[in-house]
Amino acid sequence: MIVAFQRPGNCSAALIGLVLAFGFTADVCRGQEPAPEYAVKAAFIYNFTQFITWPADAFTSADAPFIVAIVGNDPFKGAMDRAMEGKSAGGRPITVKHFASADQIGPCHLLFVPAEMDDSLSQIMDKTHNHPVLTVGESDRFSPAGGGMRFYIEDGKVRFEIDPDVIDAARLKVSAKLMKLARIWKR
Amino acid sequence: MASNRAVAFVAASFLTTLCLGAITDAQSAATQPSAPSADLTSLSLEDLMNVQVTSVSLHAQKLSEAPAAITVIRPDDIRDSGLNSIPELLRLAPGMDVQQVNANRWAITSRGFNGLFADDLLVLMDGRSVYTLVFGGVRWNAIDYPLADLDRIEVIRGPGATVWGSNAVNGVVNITTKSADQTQGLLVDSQLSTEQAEQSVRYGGKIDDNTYYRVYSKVGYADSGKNTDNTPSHDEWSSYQGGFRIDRFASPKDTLTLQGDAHYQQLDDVTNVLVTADPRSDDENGENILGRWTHTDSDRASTTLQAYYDRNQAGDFPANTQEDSFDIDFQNRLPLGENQELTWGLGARDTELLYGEFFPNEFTPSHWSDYLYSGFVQDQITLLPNTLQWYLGTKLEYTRLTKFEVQPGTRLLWTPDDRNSVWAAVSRSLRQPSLFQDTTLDIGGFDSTHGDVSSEQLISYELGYKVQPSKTFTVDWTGFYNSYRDLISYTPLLTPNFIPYGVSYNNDLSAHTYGTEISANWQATDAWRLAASYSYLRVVTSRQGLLGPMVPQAQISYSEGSTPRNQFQLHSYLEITKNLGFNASAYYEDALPTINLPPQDSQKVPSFVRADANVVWRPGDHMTATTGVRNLLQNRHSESGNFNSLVQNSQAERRYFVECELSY
Repeated sequence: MIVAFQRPGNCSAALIGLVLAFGFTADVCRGQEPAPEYAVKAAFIYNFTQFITWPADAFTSADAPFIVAIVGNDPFKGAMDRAMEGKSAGGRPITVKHFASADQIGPCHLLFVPAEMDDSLSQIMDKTHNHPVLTVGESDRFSPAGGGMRFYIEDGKVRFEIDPDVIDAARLKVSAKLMKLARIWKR
Repeated sequence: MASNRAVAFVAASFLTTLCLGAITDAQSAATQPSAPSADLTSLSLEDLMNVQVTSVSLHAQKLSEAPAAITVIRPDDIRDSGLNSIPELLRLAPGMDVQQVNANRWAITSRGFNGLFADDLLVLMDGRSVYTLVFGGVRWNAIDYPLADLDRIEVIRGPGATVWGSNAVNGVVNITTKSADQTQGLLVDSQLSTEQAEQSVRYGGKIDDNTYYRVYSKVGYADSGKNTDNTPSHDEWSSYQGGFRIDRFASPKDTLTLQGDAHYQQLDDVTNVLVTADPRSDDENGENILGRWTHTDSDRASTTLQAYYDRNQAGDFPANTQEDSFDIDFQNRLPLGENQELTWGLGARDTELLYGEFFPNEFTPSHWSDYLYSGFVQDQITLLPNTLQWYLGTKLEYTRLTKFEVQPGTRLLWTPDDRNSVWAAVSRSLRQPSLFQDTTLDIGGFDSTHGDVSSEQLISYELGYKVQPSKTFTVDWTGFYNSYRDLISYTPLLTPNFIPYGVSYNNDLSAHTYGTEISANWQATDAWRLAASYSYLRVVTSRQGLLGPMVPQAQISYSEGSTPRNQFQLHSYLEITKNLGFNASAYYEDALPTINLPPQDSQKVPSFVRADANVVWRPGDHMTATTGVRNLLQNRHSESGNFNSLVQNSQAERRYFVECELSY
């Protein structure tokens, strides 16, 4: 029989003390905390612009910018603009545009559709259909409605799914590296 | 003594890892970026996939679309519960009756008929059945895994027969571990409490860009508890377990998995049979290996082929047993047009049992075997898109013991909008007789015999309703009525002088049970979540058939009183800061009645309230420390009566614990 366990108070108090002592050391030196959801999504969208190829005719000229757009109220609260600042995709500078509603959608290459835009989904799809635009959403109805890529949360982490048929129809090419990490969504 | 060394080892490595954790955390702080949003773009895709996000919507339960009483226990739930073993974690599902019999034995069931040999629950570990045919139940002490590497525990109350087959009469517990690519790097999890010491070490790496592996070991020790009269209960255990898993992403559509584990345990307890209460020490060993190929065509079409071999050796009073199982399973899911999805499968299993008797010290191994061929089919028909789904299916089985058996079931799921869902189900399920019930065993003059024992039958009627009145509040309600027939009873055989000389098994009990399970989840504020659940169960048992009247009243009372009538639990999860959480739980269990069943009178198990609390601290990405107390309110309490087992029960004690998990 182990004597230590007969006096639970002393033993666990000592252990708790040890944990706290070492824990404090660690805490002083490191301050990483879980990240805000939309900051992570913005970082993913930056990666999408790097690992997907758009057809040449998606751009009006050789130095036309790569346009990332958000339709509706901006859930990123500036995180998207900060993430794209000074960055480029395929040699083109990235600019961020905000469209107030579905009928104000103009030319763009990647369109982010926030969850609250569910009621305008068919209108949004009509506008982007047959154009080389990557639509990225987050609500459950996004993929069935014809969206190209969609974020979802699993185990507290951001994940994404791709509808390969919609991507093909938009004449976009997704690199194998990105495809491997995606969940495939099929109609 | 081996146990002293085990504890010393765990304590030493626990402290060592704490030191290492603190030092390396401090060092790596210099090289790791902190995380204001702009810098996230410098992370690789893989690293981004590992970033934990904070969002209220995480805990608000999405309305589940399964037409069944199902609870999913996820890694977050495991971490915040302060519970440290799989049997304990099953308490989190409403309607599960989890009784700790002694330090290494559990009696667990859903919806009634609990006991050390509770035999109506099918438990799967990564697709491998851990149901033993020796006594027709689950060896809970053999179900263990580093908890940090568990992906989820699905608890389904009610018959899962149609898809999972026989022996899933009262429920299915489906435990899956994370795939190897999700468990990369080093993880050391050490836990010390006033009763136990445990340590897991896992290392995961890559063989190439598409092939990932992990290896792990888990060592544990627990010391003896106390009986109701404060004498030691001699129920120590020590356990050594190790294993591996390899996952290969052979193509975008194909995944191959190979995994295996081995465990060696020494379990002590006190037997209850005959006159003396004898302390005993059992060795239980097991090894298994499993291979699986999954081919996914789309969300609606996939194929799985799986095969495994599992060997278990145990000293099961009154016989030593060695049980070998070979199992192969094939499953295919495919759409049939727009409105139907068909799932079907075929399987075969062979079980070889060698058993020999404990005393009088002769080992003459006997051989018992069983084979099982099974097929199932289930059609999911969409009657109204997104609104009404109808599931229709059946399992067909053929075994040596019970020949052809059919287990059909049907379910209806109605989702009128995205806040409400209603489901109803009718199913038939069967439980095969176990080795003990099928065979004549002679133990030092004590006979166990059987009549023509056949499977036990259940017809179950269930109704469920799930509602999400707001983004932060969900309620899940289930009601059921179960009708059992041909339950196996054991009738004592008496000499003309009324001295028991043996036991006879026959199908001469029937029963009906009814009850309800309710659970609710409320995200009260951004940082505070509350969860509660309640379950109610009534069991009414009666005799049937010609031999029925010979079944002693005690057995009727036992089957009616082995599960508490009311159970309630309340959990509070509070995020004090982003790195610090405080969690508290309270459990109420109703009393178990006194039952007089030979060879010893049982004690009444009074009702009790148990309270647990813990603090979880994550100073950085690499370390999680938990400290807490289980059983805050009482020094100790009984959870299980003596009546149902060959093993004497001890009490669950108050436990203080500290846990530290380090990962790199």
